[in-house]
Amino acid sequence: MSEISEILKLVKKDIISFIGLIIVVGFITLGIIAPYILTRPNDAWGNTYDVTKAYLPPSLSHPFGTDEYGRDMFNRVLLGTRFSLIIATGVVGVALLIGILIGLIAGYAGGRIATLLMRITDMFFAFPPLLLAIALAATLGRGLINVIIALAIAWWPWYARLVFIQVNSIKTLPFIDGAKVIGLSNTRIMFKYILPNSLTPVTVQASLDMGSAVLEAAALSFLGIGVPPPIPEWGLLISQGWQSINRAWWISIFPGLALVIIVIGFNLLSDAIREIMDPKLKRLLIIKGI
Amino acid sequence: MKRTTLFIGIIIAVIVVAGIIGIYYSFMKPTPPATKKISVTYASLSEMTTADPSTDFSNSILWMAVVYEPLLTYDPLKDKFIPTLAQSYESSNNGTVWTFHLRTNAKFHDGAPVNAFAVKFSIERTMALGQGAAFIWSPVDRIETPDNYTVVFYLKYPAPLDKIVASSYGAWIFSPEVIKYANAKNSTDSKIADWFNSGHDAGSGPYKLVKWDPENEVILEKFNEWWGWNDPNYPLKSDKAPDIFIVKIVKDSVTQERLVESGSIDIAQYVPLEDLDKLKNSPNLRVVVKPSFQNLLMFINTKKAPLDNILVRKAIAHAIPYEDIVKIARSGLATVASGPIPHGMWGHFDNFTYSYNLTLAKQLLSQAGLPNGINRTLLLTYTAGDIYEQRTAELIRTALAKIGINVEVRPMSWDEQWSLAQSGWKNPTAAQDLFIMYWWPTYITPYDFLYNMYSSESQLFNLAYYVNPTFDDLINKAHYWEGINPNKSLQLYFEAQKIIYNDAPVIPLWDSVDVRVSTTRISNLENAINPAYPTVIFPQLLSVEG
Amino acid sequence: MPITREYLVKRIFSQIVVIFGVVIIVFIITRVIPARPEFLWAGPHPTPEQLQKAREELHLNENILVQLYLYLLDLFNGNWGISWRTKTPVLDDIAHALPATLELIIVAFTIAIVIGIPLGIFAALKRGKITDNIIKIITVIGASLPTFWLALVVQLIFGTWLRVLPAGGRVNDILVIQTGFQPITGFYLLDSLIQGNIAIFLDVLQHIILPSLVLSIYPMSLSARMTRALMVEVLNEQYIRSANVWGISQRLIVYKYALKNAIAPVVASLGLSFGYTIVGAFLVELIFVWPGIGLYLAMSLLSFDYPAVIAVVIIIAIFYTTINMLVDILHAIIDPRVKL
Repeated sequence: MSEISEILKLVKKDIISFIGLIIVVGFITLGIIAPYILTRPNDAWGNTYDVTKAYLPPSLSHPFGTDEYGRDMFNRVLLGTRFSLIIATGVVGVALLIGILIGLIAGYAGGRIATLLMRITDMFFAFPPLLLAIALAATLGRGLINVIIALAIAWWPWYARLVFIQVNSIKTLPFIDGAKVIGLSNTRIMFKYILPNSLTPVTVQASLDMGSAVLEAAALSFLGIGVPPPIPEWGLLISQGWQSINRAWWISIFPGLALVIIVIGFNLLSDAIREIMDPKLKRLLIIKGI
Repeated sequence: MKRTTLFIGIIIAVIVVAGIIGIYYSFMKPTPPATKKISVTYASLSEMTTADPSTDFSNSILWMAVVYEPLLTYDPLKDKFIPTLAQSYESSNNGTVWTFHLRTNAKFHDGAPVNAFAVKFSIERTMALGQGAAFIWSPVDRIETPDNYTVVFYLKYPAPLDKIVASSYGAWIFSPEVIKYANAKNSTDSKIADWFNSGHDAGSGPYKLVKWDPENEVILEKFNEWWGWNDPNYPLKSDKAPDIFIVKIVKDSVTQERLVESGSIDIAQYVPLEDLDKLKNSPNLRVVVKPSFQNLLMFINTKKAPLDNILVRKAIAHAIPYEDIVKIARSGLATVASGPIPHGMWGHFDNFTYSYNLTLAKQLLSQAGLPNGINRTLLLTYTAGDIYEQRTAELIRTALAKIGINVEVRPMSWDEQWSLAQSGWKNPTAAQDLFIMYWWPTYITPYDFLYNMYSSESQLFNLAYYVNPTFDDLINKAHYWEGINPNKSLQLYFEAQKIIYNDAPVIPLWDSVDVRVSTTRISNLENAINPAYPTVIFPQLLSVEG
Repeated sequence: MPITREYLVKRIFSQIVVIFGVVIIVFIITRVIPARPEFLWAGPHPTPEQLQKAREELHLNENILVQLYLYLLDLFNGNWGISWRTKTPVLDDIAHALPATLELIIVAFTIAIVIGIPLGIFAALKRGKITDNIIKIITVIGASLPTFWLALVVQLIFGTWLRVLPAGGRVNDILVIQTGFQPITGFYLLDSLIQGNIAIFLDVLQHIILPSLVLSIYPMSLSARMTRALMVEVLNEQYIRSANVWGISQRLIVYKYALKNAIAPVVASLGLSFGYTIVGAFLVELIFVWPGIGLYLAMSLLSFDYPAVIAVVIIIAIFYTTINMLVDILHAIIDPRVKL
């Protein structure tokens, strides 16, 4: 915990990283309060349509214009923040859960179990991650939960590997031997001693991955295998605007801008944090190309 | 150091080899003479699947209808038959014997004459293979060829054979020489299909197949010996028809629009309908709007409560905002449906619309004992990827919510959607409540619509699970009389449609219109489009500037 | 650790095992899903008899293990199945589409490296100053842009509003006919040069610029950031400083020592961004209607055309693992300190 507060202190000093921090905090806050600050909730949730208001360009009353159903895009993009947040936390949370568990068991048990688990993990590495997610999402069908599952399944291998490496180096430390000598059960050792010490790199990585999670979920929705309409998820809004892009550029552009800003925020923050952290670990993360 | 020299050596070797190859090619390949051939490019949204005229039931119609010919061509908007390979015909014996007299100057692309044997061969092969649209020939008992240019069809029961031979699919005539060309044993040998699919054609039409790349493009070249070019009585041709006709696969309407605007393609099959106003005002584009016989319908699961109650179905029918759906989903480019037979088609009647009336809808629900709406969520399925179905489904969902009916909209891949619907015959509660799909006719008859979608025998497409023996009987009678006494047939079709209007198992939503955009280089596009042959543009009718 | 033959063999073998496992899993998943492919095969308005026949043709009525066995047998004999959607052999479809995608990716990566690495070096040399910060911001933005959105925007601006570049497709067909262009390798840029067809070469160039530019943004930003980060680290190291003390010209230092050491992780990171780029190519192909594997996979997925999907998945898996293996090996060659 103290590490984290130290990191935050350093982040605040550099202006670029500070901007990143603001964006991320802003995203999380907006995501939480969005449903309550909507000016046109019916438009946002997709419960209504009005032919007379279709395809209005951006104006004061409709800062982001309206879509083909006459719904206000500003409200829809705003509500979309909430769903992006849900997806980001969901994906990263589930992937972490699976990844940590598998990495922990494989790292601690070693031997054949480790080889088996790592082989399975390797099979996932045979694919570009988003491709796997696309295949899974296409199979599972549309839906918020399905998107989270598809992305989480595509992502956990990276976390598993990170944890595996960490656990491997920790388990050879003397105090673990000491614990074994005393007679503590393996499970206890795993969860009480090894786990807390191997979490730092992977949790930092995961929290920064939230930006990529939003991006990939948007790509899935864009392809039509993500969340179903009328959920105003940004990728879905972009794809809905694609058909009318010549007539109404605003429908696709503004949700995309929102996406860009959020991802920039996470990237800026992650850059800063990585520069501050342990250089060896940084090298590890860099080599992973993350 | 050694490594670097090796590296440099490799690079030099590669350059030398590439240079040799380049010199070889530039000397061996003569520069093609620059003969100016007039070509027209037509963009197709979907790729082609097969090149076999007996079995195609999909996108290849785009070029097959140009490379191959049927006996007759039907103009549905004038309800007229235009003699194509057959110059004249008559029917006798109460519509069970049809005699066609072939024209004598038609030739296949290999020079062989189109004769009665070829007609018999083609149709019999189509029937034997039994795929695609082969079912249109089910009334045929046998085909006889009393002389070289006369074909006689003997039917098992009366049927409108003139409409059948003018069918959009399954009615093309091709050369019997394919057996020889494909080294096949008989007409149903799969070697023939392989021969077709490797890019060969055996047709007699105004153009021949020159390149077959089903995922990317199909190229046709003018067949100068086509009988139609020099026939003064044949209306379906133009003096300024293009020499080359290219069907290019462009899988996205936004891109098609851009390509036609920039002149990279000449005719776009589909453009985003939202842009139509802008396109109409563009000085270098022409927009042609023509009725199509494709319509969109919503099937109600008549076997699943509370939709088994006719009052509930009628309530739904009156709660749907038909005009708004046309405006929003199709940008106004459709017509609110009146009955399941599309506007402009023989058998269509105008008095089968449901009014949009929420008060009436709520009243009907109350009468059915559901004053507060339905307490479970209905499932509506449509085919994923079609934006018009998507928008229509969304609007229906929003509209039905206003009378207390909650709908979950689920896009599915076509085969899954259909598969789920099929399970409804055995287990209605497991299937969807509302099912949206398009329909279009194979040959122009109301029977195609009414039998497939409403008959209790047609379990494949009667996805409202509607069983009404009186109705079944009526349409069979109507089809019986269709080739013998059209007026009587029309009367019976009217009665049948009245029944389903009152029972409301299916709600026809809108009749599509076709919008084609071309560059100003192309003229006479309106006449090159015929709703009986969907998506086809007949290049022999186009007038093209160099 | 030097590369031993033993390592190579072990690596390739494990690669094959992994791919094999993948094929089987994908196959089973696709057969277990409740789809009815015979409907795709039989056409739009089939009769019940036609459907039954389709089921038989596709061996759908048999035991799933039997189906798997038949499929694997075919696979080894070079018959990768017929696409349920296009009715043509899948390998043919892929052979057509693969060079198009490869051409796109190669051009994109070339742009990424040619612009990205010098950018990173420049930023490292000027680290801490304004130029460095500007480059940093640009690369962060570049790495954050969603590929599909960027493609739409670029297409809108350059293809529709400004009309300076073609909005889609790979080549102008009229030009192809008029100049008699024939694809030989499938790489149109190469083929047009071999045939001396400058008109087509320029035309293909025009068509490939926008999509490859869009595709290159992510690997470009990534390589710029990596190069900068590692160059900075290396520039700080002792021996560089001592070489500086001895007065050796800065350029020599930079190119010879620093770059050589920094190259290895950059190569590794490019190899990894390759995965992201494959999916990026997928989306770019969709929007620019580029006739490659991505478009083919998209169409196959959305129509649940399993033979095509499996085949493409296998090809991509093979590619991806091969590239990863090559990258690892390259990495080891360049930097002997790296443990394999």
